[in-house]
Amino acid sequence: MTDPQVLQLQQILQVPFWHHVDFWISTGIGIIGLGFTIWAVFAATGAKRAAVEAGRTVKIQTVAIELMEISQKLDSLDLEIMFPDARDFLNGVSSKLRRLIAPFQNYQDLGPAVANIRESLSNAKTSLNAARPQPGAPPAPVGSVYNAIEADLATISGFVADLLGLMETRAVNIPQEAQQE
Amino acid sequence: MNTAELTAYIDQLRADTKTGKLKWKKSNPTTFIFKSAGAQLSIQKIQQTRHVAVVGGGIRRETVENYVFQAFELPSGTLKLTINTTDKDAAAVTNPLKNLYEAITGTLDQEGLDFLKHVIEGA
Repeated sequence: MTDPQVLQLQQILQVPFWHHVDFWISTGIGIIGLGFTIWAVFAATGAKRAAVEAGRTVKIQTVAIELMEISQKLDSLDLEIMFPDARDFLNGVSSKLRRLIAPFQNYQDLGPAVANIRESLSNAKTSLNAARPQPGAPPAPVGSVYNAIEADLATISGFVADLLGLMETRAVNIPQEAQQE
Repeated sequence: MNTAELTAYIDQLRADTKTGKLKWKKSNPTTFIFKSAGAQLSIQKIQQTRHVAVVGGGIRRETVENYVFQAFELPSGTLKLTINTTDKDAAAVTNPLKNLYEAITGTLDQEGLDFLKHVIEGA
């Protein structure tokens, strides 16, 4: 290295680094890069949340369709239904309903409706047991099984309708929330 | 329907049940049947849990008892009379039907106890 070059290097080293323009250029580029990175993280988080909520909405809509089918079934109970058929009917409805509503039990807005449906299912089962034929006893008149469970089924149907209403509200609200994000 | 006349008939059925003139049979835990040569009577108790909305939010649960009383003509099996106390028109006969139901269950319970006593004494 020649003397003028060493001298020049010494002069450069004697000046504090923040007095150099190129330091501030690289710092500025670094800050802008960091800002873009933070913005990208926020955008990705928001997009992930929106995707999760959208997935949940699709699930809620699928469940809602199945709940509507059950509701229609509950409202079309045969007046002349006999005990074995009623037992099978109630068991079928009960297991399907419980499976469908279980994922929503911890939702603040849907939880109470879920609890009401569960309680009504238990009540219906108790009412049906009250119409269980006694062995060797004379047969009960046609319609006695229907009479025993009809009110409970109507109650279940009502609570399913409540849950459906809440789900529809939720399905409407989520995309709006997602758009805001 | 003439409620006063109906109440009188139901009260008569209750009295005849208590004296043992009418022998009812249990068909299921909540339904009882009486059969004669030309008629069949049945009474069923229905217990329902109602969910009543409370002012200010929430739901209150109420348990109500209703009764279905039916009279069939035999041997044709034609339904001649049906009273369901869930109907507004029949609400007035809820208590007479409740009394009849209790008379039937009380009589049958007593018959069961008497039979048990007879078995124990005979052993």
